Amino acid sequence: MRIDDVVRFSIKSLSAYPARTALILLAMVISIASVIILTSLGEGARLYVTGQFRSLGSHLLFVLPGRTETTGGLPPIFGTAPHDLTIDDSIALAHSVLIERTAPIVIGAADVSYGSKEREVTVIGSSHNLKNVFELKVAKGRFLPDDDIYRSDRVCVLGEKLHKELFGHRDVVGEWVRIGNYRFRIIGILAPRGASVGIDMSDAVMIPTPTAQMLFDRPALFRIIVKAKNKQALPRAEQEILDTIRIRHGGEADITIIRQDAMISTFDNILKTLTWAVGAIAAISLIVAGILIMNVMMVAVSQRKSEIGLLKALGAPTHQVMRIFLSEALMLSLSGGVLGLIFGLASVPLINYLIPDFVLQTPVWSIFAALATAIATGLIFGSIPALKAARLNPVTALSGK
Amino acid sequence: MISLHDICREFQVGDERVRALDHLSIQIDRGEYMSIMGASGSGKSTLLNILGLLDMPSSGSYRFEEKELTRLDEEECAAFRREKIGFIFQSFHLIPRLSAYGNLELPLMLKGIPPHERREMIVKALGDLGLSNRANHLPKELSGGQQQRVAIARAMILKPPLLLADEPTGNLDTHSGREMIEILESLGEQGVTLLIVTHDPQLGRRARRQILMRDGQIIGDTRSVLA
Repeated sequence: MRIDDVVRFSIKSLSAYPARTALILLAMVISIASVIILTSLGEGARLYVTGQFRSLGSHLLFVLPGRTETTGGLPPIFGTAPHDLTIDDSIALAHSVLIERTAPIVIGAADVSYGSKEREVTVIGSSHNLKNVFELKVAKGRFLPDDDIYRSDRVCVLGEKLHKELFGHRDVVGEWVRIGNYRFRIIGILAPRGASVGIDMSDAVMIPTPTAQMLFDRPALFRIIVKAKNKQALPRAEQEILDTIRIRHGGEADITIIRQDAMISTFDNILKTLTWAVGAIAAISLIVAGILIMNVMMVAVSQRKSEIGLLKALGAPTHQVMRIFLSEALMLSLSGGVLGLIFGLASVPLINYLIPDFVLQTPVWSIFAALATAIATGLIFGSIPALKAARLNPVTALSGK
Repeated sequence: MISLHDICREFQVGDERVRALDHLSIQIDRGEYMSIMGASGSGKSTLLNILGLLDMPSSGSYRFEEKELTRLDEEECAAFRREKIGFIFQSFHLIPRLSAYGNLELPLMLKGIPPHERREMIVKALGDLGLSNRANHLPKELSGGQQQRVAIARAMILKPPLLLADEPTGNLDTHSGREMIEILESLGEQGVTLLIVTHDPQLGRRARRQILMRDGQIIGDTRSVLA
């Protein structure tokens, strides 16, 4: 029997029971569409998070005080170390030819008040370099001063969200605000730039490093952010940082260096796995659809016993009968798969339109995976009824019993 | 053309073994017009099924044109049915969702004849049986007699040498039944070997050779009487 004949015969069989065919198609469509939508969600999350990390700036190294060995337990996010990181360390690191610039970071929380409004805010002590390192943009005024890094000026730059909450849309550059027990002059306001992973700059206030050390009475740096000259320089820069710190800290490189690209790839991997996982969960619904196909094909085989008998009497060999029924199952699953694909791909932009903050992105592999699983579903769940049909004894099949 | 020798066919029914054909032997010549009669359970349908290779004997030999058929595998049996045998059933066995044309197309599709060659064959077959204007009708839109004519056209479209009919008039009124027999007999006159299983003595007696069966054995054969 020619392939086109098998296909035509199957189409006629399927269209003879339109309601049943439509219901199976619906189940397939929902399954495949959910695979597409859920993997798009996962992929969207992955691109969102890695994008956020990238937006921190390119080829960065984060130098943290202490090492796993010196603090014990987990990597020392808030660890203590025998030697504090200092502004001098930060300056020393910047001397390397591999390093473009460094920014010291002191971080803490303090009450910020203006008039009758007051709230606790993340205070970041850093230098002018932070602007370049994190690729920050200033909407009004200017960023932290670029002169003496040791000068503890009482000036501050407000994050965009913080500014809006305290002052609304008023231009407040040049006005005074209270941070902790000190008065600071507002010299600049950051431009908005979406959410950020790690420190939310838009909801923070930035002040010079020595001022922050004074404010929090803490001489140590929270970390030093190092911007390498380029991506290729990263490994050597990392080594050089270790060497420099070893010299400066009495022979001990008591720091931990986290590479931004390592962080990105960690999150990337986590979210890729997540995408696979949600895809797999959606694929479970495919199994349900597959069982539905099997069930309906089983009923069809019982109902069409005499037809199967006739086909055999007319000289259809076993494998031919099998092919006919398998092609019906395959056609159901494949057309359901294609419709589901169209439906899923169409709903992704729709969801993006309805929820603009979060962009769904369909990974190309999920399209192929969805189609492949649809075909596999048809083949696997179609083969049992097809085999049952093919193995029918022609005499009993013809009698329809 | 056909030689059955010492054929037995046993079925397991519950704990009991039932012998549907009991050491049956028969010779059938090319172009013979033969009826098989007998009560229900006499084994006449089993005999027909074995002749049509829908069923295999438990023991014995079945030779068709000097070829031993009992050793054929599934695939070869199917090919044999496709090439050599036309079946006609009491309940017509037309596929309800296919038109008369579509039903006639089935054996041609199974044989792998390309679509453009099929058309001519189907149109001719329908024309021969006066069904030209019924090509696009579904079986349910046809009368019983027309349905059975479609079934005959389907059985004969590949011009098999052997036509097996199981109660071909059983579901038809007298008029259509007589019409059917005339069509079958005209096929017989064209050289087709014709075997009709029937309950109807009137129909059975029209055959040139009549066989009577009981308990899986042939108890009467007009040829042996005449010979």
